[in-house]
Amino acid sequence: MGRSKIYSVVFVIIITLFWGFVLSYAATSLRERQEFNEIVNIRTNILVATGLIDRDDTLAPEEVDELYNTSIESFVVDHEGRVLTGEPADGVDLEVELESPDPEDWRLPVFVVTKNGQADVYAIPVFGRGLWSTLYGYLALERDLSTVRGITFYDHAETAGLGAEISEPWFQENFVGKQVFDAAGNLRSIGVAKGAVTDTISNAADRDYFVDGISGASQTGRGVTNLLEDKLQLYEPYIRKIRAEN
Amino acid sequence: MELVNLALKAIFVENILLAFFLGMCSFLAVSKQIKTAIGLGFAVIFVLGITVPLNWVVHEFLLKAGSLSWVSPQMETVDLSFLNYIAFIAVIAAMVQLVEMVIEKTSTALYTSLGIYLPLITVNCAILGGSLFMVERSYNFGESVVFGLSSGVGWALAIVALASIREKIRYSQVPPALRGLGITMLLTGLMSIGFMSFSGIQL
Amino acid sequence: MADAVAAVPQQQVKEREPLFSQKNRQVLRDPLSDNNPITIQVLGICSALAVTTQVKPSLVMGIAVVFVVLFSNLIISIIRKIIPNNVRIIVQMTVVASLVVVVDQVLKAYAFDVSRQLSVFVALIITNCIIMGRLEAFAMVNKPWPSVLDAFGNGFGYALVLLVIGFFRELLGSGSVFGLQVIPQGLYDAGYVDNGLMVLAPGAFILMGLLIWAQRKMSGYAEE
Repeated sequence: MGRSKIYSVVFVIIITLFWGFVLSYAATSLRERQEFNEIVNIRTNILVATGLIDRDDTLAPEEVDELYNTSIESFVVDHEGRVLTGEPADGVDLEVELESPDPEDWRLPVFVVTKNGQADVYAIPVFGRGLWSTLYGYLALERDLSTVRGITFYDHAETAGLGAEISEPWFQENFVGKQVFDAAGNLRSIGVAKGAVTDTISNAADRDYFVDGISGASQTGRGVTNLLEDKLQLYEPYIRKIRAEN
Repeated sequence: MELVNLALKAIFVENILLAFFLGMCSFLAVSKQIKTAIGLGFAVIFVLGITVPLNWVVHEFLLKAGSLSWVSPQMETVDLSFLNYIAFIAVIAAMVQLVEMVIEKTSTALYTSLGIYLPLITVNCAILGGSLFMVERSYNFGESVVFGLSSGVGWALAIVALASIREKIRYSQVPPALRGLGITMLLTGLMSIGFMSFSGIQL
Repeated sequence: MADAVAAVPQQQVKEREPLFSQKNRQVLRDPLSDNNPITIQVLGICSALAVTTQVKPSLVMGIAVVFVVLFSNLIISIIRKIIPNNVRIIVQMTVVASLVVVVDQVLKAYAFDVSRQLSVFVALIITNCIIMGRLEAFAMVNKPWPSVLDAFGNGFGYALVLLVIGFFRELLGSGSVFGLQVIPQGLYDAGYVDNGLMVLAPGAFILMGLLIWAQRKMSGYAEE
């Protein structure tokens, strides 16, 4: 009996060691590719939000990388809207930045597509709580910094078929052409309506500031409303500055 | 308030079984009688309530990227998160075993009512699923305690409800090929529609 | 899991028989329909419902399960004689969990989109009762070759059901198959709407129930 117990223990140890080696090997040899995928996924979303590639385009990761490097310029601004020169936005994670209690420390990434030497589209990262999870995405604004060019949500763990609809084309295309500033120049942001805009927002003039909601996912919708307002306020000093220059 | 909201979400709005399909195997196999369903339900609440926070500790202090920095600063870059699944299932199996032994020693009454269900629980995907959701949704310790317990309550609620329906349906004329699994699936679908009506709730 | 052991008679295969003997063919064919792991043995239902909102994740999930059940069956069958009986469950768990981690890592590296869609359900293959059930009931008492066939049979039987459900849920819920629009635009213009319920949980349960009904009607199987 004593012998078979020792045998069992030794057996389990050998099996565990064996699989430990196999797994460590698999994890380390694939890690580089996995991290590349993560970066490409984010870049694809910036490209889609800014309208440089179509939602349905299937580009090889290398092509995405190439297109991103040649067409997108990135920099960081501080909380008062000053551009910090010499600091690229690559590797700056807005979520990590905002963890610092002192707004002076924040570095806010901005992505710009230039056309004929002029900034054409601006994209900023947006994120915030939905029903279950944090939603991550990018919001792209036209040159006037009020009209929405596009929006993407690339990471979330909302319910399939309900909250997860935020990553569907119909929901995201819904934002295109909406306004974040009103005629008087006040920041209004964009709200997600409870249902179709045409049914729920009675004042036609307000319809520029609302998008169709997802039925059965009102909390996710509210999350989107909040996160857009929140992040636009964060970037407001910078946006106002550029709008004044224009 | 946040925690109450989380509990309500996990029990009603997004029931771990009726919205995420976790724990279907034992749900179908053990829902023939109310009494056994209640027994298994409590066992699941108990085990989920223990393993989710425990796995939170394992994940937070051993496996997450950079989590080993408390051992020595040089280990800052170590990322063992690929061992998550194995560690979780090992913790679950060990906990179930431990709970079984403790119950057997301390309370015979509890052991006879709960004990037989415990071995079934290791392979119940609701348990492993609870821990995986905890990581995916990056809960903190308090949230993982509440989430673990209330997911268990949600699961128990679903299985007891189904068992009561199945006890009644025994007297109904169900087409032979639909009997058992088939009709149970349809019933679960209807229950799931019912639970979806909770989705408007919020605090 | 106890159900699986009871439902499948433990088959002993005689020595020196041809690769595709009568018995081996039956081992391969049975789980595809007459003894299907999902619709008859009631195993592995969770993932069958969760990942089938579209055909593509269903297919990837099917392949992942075939891979895991195949290699775990093979490995366990090869070492079945030296596994100490009292720790056999732990050994099986270790093998299955490790294979699942490998699958997960490979998916993250080479099929990033799908791996995000499947999210936690790849990891839940570990607790998929089909796999542990086959190890206990078949691989522990049979030679490697029949075990491989058994794994193929059960893996494909599982994948088949996933694909069928995935097909209907995507067709009725999103009007497409494999991401390609198949319901013509004219039909939408005429007032047709996708059935959103199919993408949600209730649709999955009800479709599954109907599929089981149809399958059992054909095979003549009935529960008491």
